[in-house]
Amino acid sequence: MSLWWWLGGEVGPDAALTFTTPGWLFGLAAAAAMVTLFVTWRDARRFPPVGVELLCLALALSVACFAAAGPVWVEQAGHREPPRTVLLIDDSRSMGVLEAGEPRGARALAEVMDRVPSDRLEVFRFGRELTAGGEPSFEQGSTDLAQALRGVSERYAGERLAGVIVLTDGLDRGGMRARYTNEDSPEPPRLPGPLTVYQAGVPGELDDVSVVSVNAGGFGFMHSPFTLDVTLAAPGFEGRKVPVSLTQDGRLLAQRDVALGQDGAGKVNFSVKPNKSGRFVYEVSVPVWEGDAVPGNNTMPVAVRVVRDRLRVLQVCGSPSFDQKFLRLFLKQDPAVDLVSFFILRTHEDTRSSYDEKELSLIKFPYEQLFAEDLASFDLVIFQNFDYRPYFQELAGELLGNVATFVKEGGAFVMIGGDRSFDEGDYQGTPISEILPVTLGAGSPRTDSASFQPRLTGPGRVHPVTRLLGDATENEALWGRLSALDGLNLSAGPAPGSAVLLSHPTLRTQKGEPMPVLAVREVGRGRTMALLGDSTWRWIMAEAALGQGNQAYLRFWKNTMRWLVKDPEGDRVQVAAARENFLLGEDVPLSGACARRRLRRRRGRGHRGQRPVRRRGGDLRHRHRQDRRGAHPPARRAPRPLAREGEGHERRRRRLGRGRDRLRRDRPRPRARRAQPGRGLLGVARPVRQRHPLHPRRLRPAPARRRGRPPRA
Amino acid sequence: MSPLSRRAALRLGAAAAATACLGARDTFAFGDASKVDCVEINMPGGSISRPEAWSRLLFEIEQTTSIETVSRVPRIAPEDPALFEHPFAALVGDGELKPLSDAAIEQLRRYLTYGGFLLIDDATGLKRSAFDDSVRKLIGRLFPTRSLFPLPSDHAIFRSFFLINRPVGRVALFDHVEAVSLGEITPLVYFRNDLSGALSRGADGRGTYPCTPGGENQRREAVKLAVNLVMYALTSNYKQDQAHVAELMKEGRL
Repeated sequence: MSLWWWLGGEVGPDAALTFTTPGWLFGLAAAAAMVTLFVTWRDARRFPPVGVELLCLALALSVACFAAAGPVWVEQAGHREPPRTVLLIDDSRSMGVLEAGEPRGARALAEVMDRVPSDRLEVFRFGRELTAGGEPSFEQGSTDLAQALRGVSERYAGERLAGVIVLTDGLDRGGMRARYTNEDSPEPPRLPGPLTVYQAGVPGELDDVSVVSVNAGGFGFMHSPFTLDVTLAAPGFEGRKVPVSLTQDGRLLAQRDVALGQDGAGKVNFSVKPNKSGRFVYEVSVPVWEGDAVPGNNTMPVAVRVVRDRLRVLQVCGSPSFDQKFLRLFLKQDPAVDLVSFFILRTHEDTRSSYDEKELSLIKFPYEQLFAEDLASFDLVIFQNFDYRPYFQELAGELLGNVATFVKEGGAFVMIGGDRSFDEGDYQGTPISEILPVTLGAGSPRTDSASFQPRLTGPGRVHPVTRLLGDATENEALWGRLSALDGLNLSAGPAPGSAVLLSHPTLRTQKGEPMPVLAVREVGRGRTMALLGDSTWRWIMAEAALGQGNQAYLRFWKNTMRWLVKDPEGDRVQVAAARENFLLGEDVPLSGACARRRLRRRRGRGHRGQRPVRRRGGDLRHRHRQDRRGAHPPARRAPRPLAREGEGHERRRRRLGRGRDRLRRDRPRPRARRAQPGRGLLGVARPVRQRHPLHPRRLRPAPARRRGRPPRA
Repeated sequence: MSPLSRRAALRLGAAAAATACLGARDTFAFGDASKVDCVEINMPGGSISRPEAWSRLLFEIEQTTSIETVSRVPRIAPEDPALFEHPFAALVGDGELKPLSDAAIEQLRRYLTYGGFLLIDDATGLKRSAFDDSVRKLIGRLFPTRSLFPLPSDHAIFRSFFLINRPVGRVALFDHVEAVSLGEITPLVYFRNDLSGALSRGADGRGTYPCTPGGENQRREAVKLAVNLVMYALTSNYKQDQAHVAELMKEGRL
């Protein structure tokens, strides 16, 4: 034991003395000891002998100082562990591909486990994230090999591993493959041990028919065909024919046989002509063959947003008037409307002046072509103060019947009042009376010419047609101050199944109900509206006189058109996802708006039921997580505003990965063909729009013209 | 009294039926409120009133077209909000119009922007007049960014009911009609051949003013143009729809 030992040096290879007290503290204790020794020596000079005492004191002080220095005796002992081995298993879905009836990942893992000693083996699974332990399920949605290797390096920093074993099929989605492909000398990952890779799967032995991609462009136009381009890949099925099916909501739209090339690839396209606007899911599928490695990739849904190119409106007016003028201006100025107007400028009664026909710029009113041939090409038909009798009284059954059929099969119809409308137009007993929202046969008188302020009814307070302002109180106040109407066509009351939105403040029907002013109705798959006055134009001019503008009139008619043609933009409940596709397990933010304070979100098959979603300032916010692949339509329903008048259930769809859930069937709206070039209504060089060949609208052709003088328009 | 012959009885019956048919529609009407009328704008200065001209025009429209009219010609100041109850307005003058207040200009502009129609009729029968100068100043204030322009011959005004080749009135000094358009709509028409002068008739049914140089034929053409103006005010560019153009071209009338 040397002096060096006492000063804290190493005594041997595994032992040492160390002092834990700070040096300044030890110095302070030593100084105090020296002072004590000096004072004692100075006082002890009077009392000899002092040498022994001083020596004892010096020893005591030295021991005290040593103790104060905090001596620690350190001995090191131990033994070396053998390095560990890390196994990284690719847990992505591609590892679940069946080979000889078994997932390729499971086969490869069994072979690896036979070769690697398991006593020092640590197992991790990776997809998008690195997870310690657990049995691989081969269900993760992605493969990020670089992220997994980085995670291992950080976890075992400073430790040398015996090896890092990666078990994968090489289908990396994290960018590592791209980096090695695109860069000349990519920097290899830093690993705590040598890397060994086992590749799962045997090239050339995979038999798999799959739908690789379906490209639809994202949106299409109503009544115009769009193309779905489908790409197939089928290794193991080279040269064979594969039937490819296109379905919408479970309804088969088309099926084609595709001859696969020698490389197993195939392409096919489908032409689809949607008849409704909204978001729809089309699904392309190929059959699951025996030995098909991945049955899950045999179908692929694609969401397509269908929008109207333009709304086709037919406005037929029996007499030019201020009301007709302002409605036409509104319709013409709306870029979303394709308007066809026919105004009766002269009737048989207006021939009291001696003008020659050649002086006139009038044309024949083509009522037969309109109501027998071209009717199906329109979305909305407006009879504005129009009396059919001078033109086709003998054909009323056929032509007006066509209008009724048009509505029942999904069209929209509006009758606007005047001295030629409703009972004044003698529509009672015609097919039109069956679709009107009011019952004809008011008796006498048929009209009331007194000015009146229409009153908003209970259904009118919540109906989208009469909702001119978002706030209910403000909306009612606005209706209360709009200009009065000049007169009213009287009726026997609302028709069954209709809803009265505006009523007369004092007049009553024979049953004692308030006299309808504005009523709506759903007839079959279509909708109708009756406006029993002819002076809504005053809502523009009276408001303009007050400096208020024409917004009330514009909103009223815009609401009307949206509701009549079932425009999804006019739905009271709007729900949309941030984007079309989401990964499994990813949060899906849903947003929207609802006219009501409370909305119940009805969930589809396999969901847990309804969940109320509250709105904040008119907006809806909801977060949803989906753990199943496929298209998931969040069906939502707001309380119906009326007992007899429904908004229906509006739907939006979003797609989540591949595959789909069962969607509710949308009723197709069969349409007959549009006007053909050269024989169309207008003779316009317009693209010919073919209707769905399987569902022609059943319109009765008009019989050969009979007698009668042609009216002029 | 001789007994009524069979032919006479048939004629009488036919006349009664025709009378019933002609008059039947009036009994269906909502009332005068929703019928077409014409309002005269009373401007300080040189505006004049010719209600008999517009009454005659409304009668002619009732007789010739399917438009329901009422012989009502109120005279209203431009700043009167009642102007908005009559979407067809006429301003006739033969002297300098005094400048309107800013409020009146704003109201007239709003009237025309939101659907009203204004016919300005120069009753002077002169190529240069104080009325013409004041009208141009008025229109400059109404639409500072738009100017009067001669309507092309294929404008809907010239085919809204009759096919008009030459726009004439009491005089035939100008072979064109000037107007201001807002987009596809023409809410203001300035006519300098004295249209109301051609329309005016006395109690005896004869024209108040002689039409020069064409006489009664010219008056007839003026009436046709006036009918077209009202028809255009109600139907705007309806006659420029493809259906009408194609059909008229097919029949060789365009």
